[in-house]
Amino acid sequence: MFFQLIVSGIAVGSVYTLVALGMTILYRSTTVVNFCHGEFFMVGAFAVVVSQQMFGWSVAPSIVFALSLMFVVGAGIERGLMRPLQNAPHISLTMMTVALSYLLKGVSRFFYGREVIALPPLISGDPIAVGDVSVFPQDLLIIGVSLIVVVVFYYFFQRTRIGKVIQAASQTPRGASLVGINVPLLRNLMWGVGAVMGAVAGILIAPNTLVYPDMGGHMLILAFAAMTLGGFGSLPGAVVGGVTLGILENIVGGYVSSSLVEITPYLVIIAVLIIRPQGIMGEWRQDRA
Amino acid sequence: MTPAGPSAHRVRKQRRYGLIALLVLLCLLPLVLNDYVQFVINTMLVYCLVAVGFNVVIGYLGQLAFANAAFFGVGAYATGLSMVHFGLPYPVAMLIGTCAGGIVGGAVGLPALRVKGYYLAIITLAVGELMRWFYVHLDNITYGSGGFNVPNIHVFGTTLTDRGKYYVFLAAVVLGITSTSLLLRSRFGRAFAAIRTNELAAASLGIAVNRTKVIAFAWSGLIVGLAGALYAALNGRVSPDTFGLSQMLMQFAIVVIGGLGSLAGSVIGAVVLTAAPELLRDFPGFEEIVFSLLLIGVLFFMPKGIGGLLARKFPLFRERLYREPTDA
Amino acid sequence: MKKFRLPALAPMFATAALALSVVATVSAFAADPGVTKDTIKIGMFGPLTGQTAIGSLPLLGAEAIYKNVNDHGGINGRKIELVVEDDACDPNKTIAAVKKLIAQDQVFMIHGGWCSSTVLAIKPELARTGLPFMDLAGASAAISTPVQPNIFQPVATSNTVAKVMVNFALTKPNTKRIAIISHSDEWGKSHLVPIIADLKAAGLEPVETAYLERGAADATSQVLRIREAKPDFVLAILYPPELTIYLRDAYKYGIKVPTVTTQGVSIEDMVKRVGIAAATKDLFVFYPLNSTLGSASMKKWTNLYTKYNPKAPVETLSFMGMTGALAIVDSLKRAGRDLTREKFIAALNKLNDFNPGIQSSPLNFTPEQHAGIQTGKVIYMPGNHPEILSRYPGK
Repeated sequence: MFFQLIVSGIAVGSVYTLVALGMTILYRSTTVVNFCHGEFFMVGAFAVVVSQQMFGWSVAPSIVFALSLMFVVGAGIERGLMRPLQNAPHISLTMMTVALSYLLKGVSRFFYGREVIALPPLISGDPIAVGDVSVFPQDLLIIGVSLIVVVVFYYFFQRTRIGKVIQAASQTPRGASLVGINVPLLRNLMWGVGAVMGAVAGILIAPNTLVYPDMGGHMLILAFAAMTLGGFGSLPGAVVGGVTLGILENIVGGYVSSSLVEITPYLVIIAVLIIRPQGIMGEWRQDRA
Repeated sequence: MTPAGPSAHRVRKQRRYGLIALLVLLCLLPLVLNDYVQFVINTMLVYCLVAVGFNVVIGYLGQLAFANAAFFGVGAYATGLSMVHFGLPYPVAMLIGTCAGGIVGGAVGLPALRVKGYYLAIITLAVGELMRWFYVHLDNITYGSGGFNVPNIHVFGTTLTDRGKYYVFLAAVVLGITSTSLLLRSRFGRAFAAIRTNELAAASLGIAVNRTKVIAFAWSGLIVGLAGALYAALNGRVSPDTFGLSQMLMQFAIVVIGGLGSLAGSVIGAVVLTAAPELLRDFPGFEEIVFSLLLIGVLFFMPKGIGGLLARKFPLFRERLYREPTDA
Repeated sequence: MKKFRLPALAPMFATAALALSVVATVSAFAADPGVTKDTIKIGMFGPLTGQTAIGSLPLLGAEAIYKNVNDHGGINGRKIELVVEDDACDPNKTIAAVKKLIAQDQVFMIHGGWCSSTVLAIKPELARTGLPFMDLAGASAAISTPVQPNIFQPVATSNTVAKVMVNFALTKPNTKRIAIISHSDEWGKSHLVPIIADLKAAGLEPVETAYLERGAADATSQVLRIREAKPDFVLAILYPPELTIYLRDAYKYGIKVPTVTTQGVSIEDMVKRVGIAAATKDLFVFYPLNSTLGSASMKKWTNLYTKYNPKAPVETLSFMGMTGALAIVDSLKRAGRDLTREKFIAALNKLNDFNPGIQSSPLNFTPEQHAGIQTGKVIYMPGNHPEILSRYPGK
């Protein structure tokens, strides 16, 4: 049972990682904690469903459509709703993301409130058993995609020039713009990217959880817990935190009590913030300059 | 900076008469209301207190602490459970609920000393959800996820009706708001504002920052705990599902729409956001959308909330400590 | 000095006095509220929006019955006027909605409630005002126990569902080890507690009780614990989304024993969602209706439902409120033209062997027993068509 719990924990933790990565990117580029990230997750899944049902497209074009849509949505939100408020106190920005979360939920409930929609797995097939441990092909896909995303991000941010430019822009926006970097444009792009990441996570897990307007709510807390555990604002922290949280949930549920699974993220948050607030990898701070 | 307008003396006099007139009107109000509208008004009163209490921490002290729903729940549960388990009369239970809120408030204030910014927001959210888990799983004491019914409240031998509750609530709200207003006008209130603006500078002025913060949290917990006690009587039942994340976000919205750091704003925000779902009854499904559009509109056009807008136009609404909150 | 004294306050007093006099004149009404010369006003509430909006289907079914009655001349010369409120499965919102229906809309009776928590929350208000209340489809046994004279429950209670589930599991030969997976909310508890009691009466204890929360994405740890306990049968007390996750994970981790679950889940829907035939061929669902949705005897009701709700999905839930509505219509007729609340409640209490053919057993109300349905059947889908049974399919 132990290894099964670990493997499944990695699979579910990969989804947390993707969501936490998306939120971290948004946090780094605008220092705003995005309370509507769970809804990006949900809208991404719905976009795939809608394009399949309404336009009758098959899986691949639906996914492309959904991801492009989410990029536009994310960038649009930054341009239209966040940028005008950038000089307002942080509380206003936070509140704006909360308002957006209600808006997205309300709109999707308006159209699809009465139903819970099933999405067929991207890779169907029987469970694969390796010794004592079984995985669905879909689980392997989730882990695979997350791994690819993490590697791509690492390479992009640490090794390419553009990545370093973006890092500079998020660490010291004023200094970066003094050097001629187009900080607003980068912010805009990062919001698009963050939204896409949320959507990717939603599309990957939708076959398991089914698609419904409230699917993003619990994911938000799990992402918070993952980010806090790994180190708020740290990209490697989001990865470590996400996977660890997934494994932790399974271990607690399997060996302690299944009724503790739902509060594991809260316990993690409280424990981390009391014992070691900077999380496993250490937090990321933005300089004032 | 008060722009040129009526003198401070005159404004104070206007305000005093205005408040008295308002109070008289409020006392006469129940005579023209049916049970349903009375119930809605009672709900508004409860949320006025909730918003005022929340504003002390988030608007005046300037700390992003999302423990309000937890204080609310503690007040309601303490009140209800003392009536159900120990048969205590409502006034005593109300006192217990209020004190429980104050104690939990102070307790939350302690970790708030170490943790700042978004961390504080997240940990207080987590504490709120953890408390809800306790309400569900300690079902020997708390009656679990279904909650429990609060026994009817008896006053002078008769059961308290919605109209009777209104007067009790009105008295509690007036007491709560007045005492909060006095607190904010005292040196404590000034200390809150000083801490909000710049903690270091406040400390250098001799303000005991840590103690003041805990006092602010405890007071917030007290007021919101009282609101919780009223809530237990309002619905006649207490259950865990009421005190979760969505309630917390709604309370946040009330305070932002009403205006951070504005008592009048808190009241207005509570009235508006309690009335809205009732007015939207004929349009099910639109509530969330209207709510979010309202929030977005306020954030764009009235960042200081409705209270801030009124304060700009009418000196009547300007409160001494009213100032825009700095970055959280 | 500004004049905030008498001249300013006078208009306020005048308005108050005027309003008072208006209220005084309006407060005299002759007959029972909600009844006029040609209408009977019935208030309804259900989760039109929110997380459990699927629970609005019973309301649509009941509405169809009422609209159909109106189209065929009404009841004793009166048409039914409906006032529908949304409760979003929120008990506090329901209290406000019911107060509005009673105090402002002044309805004759109320027919409503899918989420049991909403119905339980308004019990005190119903007791205080005494108006007749028919539960729409809320299953908690606490609704009709202890009996309140004006509250009626026309669907199988969670006690009944629990009994049917346990008995069904025990009809499989050599079933000794039973595992349970449940939500920890009130709905889950209302089934879990009677299940454990029924098992105890049969001399058994669950070998494992696992909790899965609403909104969970994964049931691995719960399923593995159950697997370790080597059950012969699993009792699942889960809502459809979480049941789907459980069934998938159970299949993945090789739990090969049958599962029986509560009402409110549609077998066709479940098979479609899980998408793995092998995972659902051993799934048994408590079935509150008389025959399968596609059968000839349901056709009349399906047509009625789609006539008035052309765009709504047709599921098991759609029919769960209809028998209650038909019982109301029947009792209103029998109460006669001179309609009062007492006569209506008396007529309801005389409902004996009432069986329009929708639910799996007849409806019976007496002054002491307001839980009208005491039995139920089970449905499963081994192949392409659902089948109803009451015992585990033997060899």
